[in-house]
Amino acid sequence: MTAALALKGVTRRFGGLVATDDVSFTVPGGQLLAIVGPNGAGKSTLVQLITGFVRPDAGHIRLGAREITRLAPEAISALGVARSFQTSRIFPGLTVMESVLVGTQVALIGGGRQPPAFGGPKPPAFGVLAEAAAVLFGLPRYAARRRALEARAAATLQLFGDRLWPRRDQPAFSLSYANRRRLEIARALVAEPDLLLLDEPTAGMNPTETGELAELIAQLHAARPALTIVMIEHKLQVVRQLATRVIVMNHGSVLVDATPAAALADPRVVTAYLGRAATSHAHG
Amino acid sequence: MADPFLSIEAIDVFYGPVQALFGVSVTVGAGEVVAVLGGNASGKSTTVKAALGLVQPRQGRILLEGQRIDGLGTHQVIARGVASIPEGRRVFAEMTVEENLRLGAYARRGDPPAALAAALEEAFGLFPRLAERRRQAAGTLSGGEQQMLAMARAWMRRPRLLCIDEPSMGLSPLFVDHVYDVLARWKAAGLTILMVEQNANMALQLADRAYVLRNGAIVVQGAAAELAGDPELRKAYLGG
Amino acid sequence: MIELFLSQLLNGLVIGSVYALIALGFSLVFGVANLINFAQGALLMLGAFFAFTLIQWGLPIVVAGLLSIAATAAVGMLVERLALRPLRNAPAIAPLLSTLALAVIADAGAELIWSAESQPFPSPLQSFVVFVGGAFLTGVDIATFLVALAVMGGLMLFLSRSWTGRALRATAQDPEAAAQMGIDVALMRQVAFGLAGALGALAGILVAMYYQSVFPQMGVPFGIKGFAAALLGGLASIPGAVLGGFLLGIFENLASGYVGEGSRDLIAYSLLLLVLMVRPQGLLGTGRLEALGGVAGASGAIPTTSIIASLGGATARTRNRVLQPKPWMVLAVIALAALVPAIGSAYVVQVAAGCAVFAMLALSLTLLSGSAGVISIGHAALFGFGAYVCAILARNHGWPPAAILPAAAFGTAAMAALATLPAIRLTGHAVALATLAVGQVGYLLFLNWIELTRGPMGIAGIPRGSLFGLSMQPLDRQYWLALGLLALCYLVAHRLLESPIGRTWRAIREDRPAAHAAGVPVLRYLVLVAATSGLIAGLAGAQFAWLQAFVSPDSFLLETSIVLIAMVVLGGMGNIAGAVLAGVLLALLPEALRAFDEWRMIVYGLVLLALLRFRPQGLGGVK
Repeated sequence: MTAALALKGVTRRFGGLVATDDVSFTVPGGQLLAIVGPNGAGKSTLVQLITGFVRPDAGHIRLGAREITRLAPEAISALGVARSFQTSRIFPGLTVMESVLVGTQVALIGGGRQPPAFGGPKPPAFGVLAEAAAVLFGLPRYAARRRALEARAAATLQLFGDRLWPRRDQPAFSLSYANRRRLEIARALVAEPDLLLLDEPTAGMNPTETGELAELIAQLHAARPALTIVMIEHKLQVVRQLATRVIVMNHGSVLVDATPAAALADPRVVTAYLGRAATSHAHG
Repeated sequence: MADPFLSIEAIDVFYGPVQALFGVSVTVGAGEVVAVLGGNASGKSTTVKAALGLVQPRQGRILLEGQRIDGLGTHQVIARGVASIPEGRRVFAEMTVEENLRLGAYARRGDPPAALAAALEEAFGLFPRLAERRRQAAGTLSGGEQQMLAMARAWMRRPRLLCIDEPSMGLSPLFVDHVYDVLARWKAAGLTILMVEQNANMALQLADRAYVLRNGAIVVQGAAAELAGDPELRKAYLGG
Repeated sequence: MIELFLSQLLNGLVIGSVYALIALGFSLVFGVANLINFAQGALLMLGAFFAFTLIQWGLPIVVAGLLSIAATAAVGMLVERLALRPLRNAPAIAPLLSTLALAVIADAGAELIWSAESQPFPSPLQSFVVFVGGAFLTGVDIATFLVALAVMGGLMLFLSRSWTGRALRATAQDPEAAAQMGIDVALMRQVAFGLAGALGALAGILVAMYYQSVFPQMGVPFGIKGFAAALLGGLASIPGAVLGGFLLGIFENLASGYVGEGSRDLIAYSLLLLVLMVRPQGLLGTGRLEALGGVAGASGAIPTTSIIASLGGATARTRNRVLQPKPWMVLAVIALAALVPAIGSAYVVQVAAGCAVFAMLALSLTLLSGSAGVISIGHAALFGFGAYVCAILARNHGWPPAAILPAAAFGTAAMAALATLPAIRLTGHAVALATLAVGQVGYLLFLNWIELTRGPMGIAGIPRGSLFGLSMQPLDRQYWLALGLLALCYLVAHRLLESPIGRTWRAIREDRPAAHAAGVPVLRYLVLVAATSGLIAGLAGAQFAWLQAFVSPDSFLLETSIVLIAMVVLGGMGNIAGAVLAGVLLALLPEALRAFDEWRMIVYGLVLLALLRFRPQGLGGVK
């Protein structure tokens, strides 16, 4: 079976700095991979590279059998890759509901692939003029698809309990920090991606909120066995709770690639985080 | 305890509608090295940014040698004898190494040119690698070299208080050692230092005291030697 | 042949050195303040006029020049005080539009003070001539070239050797790091504006000597060429500005020598557009221009690339109450307005019809600039395109309105989609520059494509024809047609905005990278919004041509584009009901100020400036 995601020799420099240095790994479909490592280890650059926001100086990135190394972000997204940003980007001037619906636009016009979860064959695409005409003259086929996607967006918002759904008509900028992170994940999920990239989803959340989000990701992972999740995460107990595999990065390279238990017991990991252990109790 | 050199008193800091710091108080005595530790988005960087006037507290006050500096612009804080090594080094990438160092001495531009020329040579003595690259654009340096440059640049200020934001970020162990060797020498020379660090173990070896932040509030503080074993510290970094 | 080449090359070097000076002022400000200073051309014009007045008072030209340079530097600092410093928490687009407003006020003010006519400027060295091969140079040429070179050299030394010069460069590269070196970043911004003023004044004096005349409109073309030169070299790059200036000067002179003098400006603006499309970072520049989103960019508490959002997050929005009438309410008001001919004179109906046209234009621009965030300073060209389509088809080919309306609408829509392409890869301030160039290219085509447009004479006697068997000759019927078109356009805009299409437009405005990441085909929606905007502008243009029965390039000047922007800001960006209201109000303004017509543009400028500062959300609130 081809891996859902494969990186081979991916290198990216910024000026004199090497952000990722000859990184290679593959992720089988359905895996929940956590990438950990201290600030500046190159984790976020990796997400930028996979999603096409940054192009590698060397190396190849494949999504399934398809090479995506030089594709534009929206083309990669249309192939079933959804992401969140380290600084959550949520279309602040749109309402919460609208912000999630942006993630359904490509499905509405029949661009990109048809997610298996949508069922059935891929519906015909609306070209740019066809869409304008459909809106102006109230074409039923377009309206029906729009309603179906709105229902899907509502269901996605409801995944987050009463955190987002009651606020669906509020502007996104009025949300709390943690809710903005949730909203961004909701937008990623609504597209029914095959590969979900989460860049520090629990950053800045308190323990309760962190636990809640970890629980949600666990549920997703259980409910959608085909969904491959790659998450960058600093909170190691979240990693331990969720991940089926951990890659530890340091100085732009893969330091450790193992099961969570093995990776997190590795002294090099604690060292990478807290610095070289000067005292024995830093292990554990 | 005598009046601290720097005293941050119960500050609240907001980014737009989001509160980043909740009543954070930090003091740094003259000649002391104080570390502010914490995980990502814990507010540790914001604390040093507030001291530097890069962000303004909405509540609370900040005193330098007994005088209020909250509300002052960053250049005014620097003018009072403070130097900064910013997070991510922030060297002026399109300028040469030497120009970067001269900018470090900007607050001393009234000093005689001979003194500045001597300071420049001393800086090159301190970091010989930079001397080899003095005419090279700073952006072409490696990460470790850029950190050296950021340190030398701050040193050109001849500060009485040095603020450092994550000096070991993204550096290889060899360079981290080098950074901390230099910091230890500066400490021995009596420099007052406020540092923010992810690398807690290194920072605690250097610092006299430390504060641990989580979600924008201080969860533990105390002597560095005692904090090193505190489970709260591990939790602050790795979650819990 | 070689004489022509040599002569044009030398002329190019001379005028190129002036462009380089303008470009330097522009690059300094852009680097330090991240702002495209649209008042740069106005500073040039003021510098020339200050010197002109001082020479008239009897001062020697060198003394007058130096005094003028000092005075214009002070004006430059004033621009910073008015257009940049107070707007830190205003929407991202506010400083740029403020410099535009100040430029408008300065140009109109100069007409009031010094008269709109061109006046002779003394040029003592003109009679001194040197022959170089087959070409010759006048004393003014040589003096211009030497002075410009000396000033550039001095500036380079200042920037590399002095404390202030290095601090300026440091501020341009990383203001936050510069502040941590103890540099007063706000002061550096002021210094950059002051230098831009001084360089502008010097360039203005040299231009005045070169052409032996001063006139208030001289700022716009030289300002744009300075921008073009800076952009060609790479916006924030100082050597790039010099290189760009010389290249533009030489290129433009060779083009005018071999193609014809009329093509000079057209070629300069086309070159600007070409650079924007092909290599927006310029020859020596970095990727900085593309990184210029809304101010907040990727940093800030809530990342956004919106030109409407303010720096500190969403402060302008929290005070934002949005006027959103139901469409039937707007239609009811339009229906009521249809009664005007029953109660008003022909003059009133004519004014009311003009209001309807401008309401359509404001509606059209608020879709593009407000909803989709593609700021346009060249919208008058689309308006003009629609008007000329109507004029030419009606007068030369006898087309009836029923055929002209779709031709103007869809023709302008296609034109708009095409004209927006250079701007589409750009964001933030660079878009403003591209659209400005598009607008000027449009104007120059109306002016110079004489076989088709009859040039400055314009096309008169445009027949109104008949629609559905009804003669459209009576003014009342023209007015009702205008109202009908306005109602139709409003409904179309409303429907699109309330649909997933409008949502996608706003998403692209709010955060373009996130829209890409969410799989939105951004280009498709930007082309669609440009086309929709063009469609409405085309209808407005056709209606305008029938109403006036006359079109000429004068109706489609940069001034018109700026008035349209003022309408969009007044209405609340992206708010179509607000735009209609503001279009009507600002179209009435010249009627109210009929006795003070020369003050008209000053009032528009002041309205725009005051709005941006005190009520950036406009009357209707941003949507």
